[in-house]
Amino acid sequence: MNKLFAISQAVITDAIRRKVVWAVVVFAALMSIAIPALPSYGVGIVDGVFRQVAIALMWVAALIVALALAATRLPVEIERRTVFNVVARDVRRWQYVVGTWLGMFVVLGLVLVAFTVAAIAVGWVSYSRPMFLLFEATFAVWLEIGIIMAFTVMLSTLFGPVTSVVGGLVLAFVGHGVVSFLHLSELERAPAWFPSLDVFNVINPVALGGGVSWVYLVAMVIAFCGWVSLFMFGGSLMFAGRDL
Amino acid sequence: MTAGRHPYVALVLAALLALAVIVGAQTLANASAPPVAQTSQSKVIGQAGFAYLGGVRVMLAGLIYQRLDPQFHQYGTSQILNRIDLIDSLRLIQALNPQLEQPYYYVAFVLMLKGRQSAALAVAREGIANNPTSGLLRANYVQLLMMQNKKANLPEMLKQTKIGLGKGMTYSSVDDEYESYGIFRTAFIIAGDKQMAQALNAAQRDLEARGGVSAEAQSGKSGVFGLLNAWEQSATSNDNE
Repeated sequence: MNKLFAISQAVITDAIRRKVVWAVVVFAALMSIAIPALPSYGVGIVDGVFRQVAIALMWVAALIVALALAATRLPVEIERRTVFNVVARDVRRWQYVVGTWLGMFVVLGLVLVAFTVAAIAVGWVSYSRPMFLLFEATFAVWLEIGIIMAFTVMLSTLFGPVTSVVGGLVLAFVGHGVVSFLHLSELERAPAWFPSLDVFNVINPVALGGGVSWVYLVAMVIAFCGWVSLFMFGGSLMFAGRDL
Repeated sequence: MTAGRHPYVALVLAALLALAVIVGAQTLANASAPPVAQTSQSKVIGQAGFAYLGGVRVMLAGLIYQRLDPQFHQYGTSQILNRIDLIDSLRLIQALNPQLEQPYYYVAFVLMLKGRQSAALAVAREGIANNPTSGLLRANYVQLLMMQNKKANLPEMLKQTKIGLGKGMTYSSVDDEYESYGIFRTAFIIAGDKQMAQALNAAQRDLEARGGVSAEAQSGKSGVFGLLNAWEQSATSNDNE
C-alpha cells in the first residue's frame, strides 16, 4: 500500500510542478465572464440557472484537466524511460497504474474544490447567496471524471496521448448520450439495468432543488467503485502485457 | 474449468462482477433519487442525454435568443414576414432549451402569417407540451386559434383561456402576464362574456398599478398581444381595401 501512496504522491508533486493550479484561475475568470450572459427567466430561478451553468463549466474544466493529466503521464514516463526507475524497484505494474490514477484523482479533487469555492464566491457576489449545495455536484463530478480518468489511464497504458484523450472523450459523451437511444422523456431517469454515467448527473436536484440524499451519494460511490475497478483491472492487465 | 487455468475466465468474471456492482448501485440510485417535480419548480432543464452539458446548452440558447429578440421588437407584422430566415435560429434555440418560451410564439406567429396554419398550431402545442404551466404559451395558442377561425375555434379558445387563467400558471415576466391577459380578454369579448372581459381589464390595471409593466407592453405594441393587435390592424386594413 505504501508503494501505491508513494507513486500517488509523486503524481501530485508533478501536477503542482506543472502548475495545474492555474486552471482554477482560468475557471474563475470564465465564471465571471459567463454570469452577465446568463438568460433571466424572471421567475425566481435565475440563481438556479447560474448553478446549472456553474456545474456544467466545472464539469468541462475538470474534464480538460483530467484528460490532460491522465493521457500524458504514462506515455511520457515510458518515452523518457523514467518508468524503469519505478518498476525496477519491486513495484508491480498494477501498483504503478493504480497509484498513478490515485494521485491524479486526488489532484482532480483538490482542483474541483477550488473550482467550487470560486463558483460559490462568484455566486455569492452576484446573487448575495452562498450556494454550498454546489459541493454535492462537485462530489458527483469528481466521481464521474475519476471514472473517465481511469478509462483514459487504461488506454494510455497501450496508446499515445491523442488516442487516450479521444477515448476519454468518447466515454464521457457515450456514457451519457447512450441513454438517448432509449428515447426517454425529460422526466425519466435512465433504467437501472442500463450501465451509464447518468447516475452521476445531479444537475437538476442541485441546481433547481434541494440536492440528493445520503443514500444517493452512497449509490454513486458504489457505482464509481464498480467502474473504476473495471478500468483499473483492464489497465493493469494491459500494462502487464506490454513489452517495455 | 477454473479461473486459475483459464485467465480469460477470471477476466470475464471480474468484468461481470464490476457490471453487477454498477447495476446494483444504479438500482439504489434510482430508488433514492428525488422526484423531478420536487427538484425543478416545473422547469426541467438538463435532459439526461445532455447531462452536464445541460448548463452550457441553456446558456447557448439564451445567448442566441438575446441577439434575436430585439429584432422582433423593431418590426411590424409585415416586416416580420420578411424575416422568415430567423425561424431556423429560433428552432435551434428551442432544440437547445425547450423551456425557453418566447421563441415558440414568434415561430408560430410567423408560420400562421405565412398561411401554414397547421404547422403554426403544431409549434404552439409543442410549446405547451414542453411548458405545461406557461400562461404565455396558452395565450399564444389562443391567439393562433383566433387567427385561424375565431368562431369555429371559440370553444377551444375558451378552454385554453380558462387553463391559462387557472392556478399554477406561471409567467416569465409581468409584461408577459399583462400581454397574455390582453389575449384572454379578447377571447372573452369574442364569446360575449363582458363580465370576464372586464375582470381581465381590471387585472391588467392592477398589474399597471403595481408597477413593472413596461410602457411598450401598455401600448399594446409589443410581445404576444402586440402581434395580435398588429395582425388585427392588418386584417382590418385589408378588409377596407
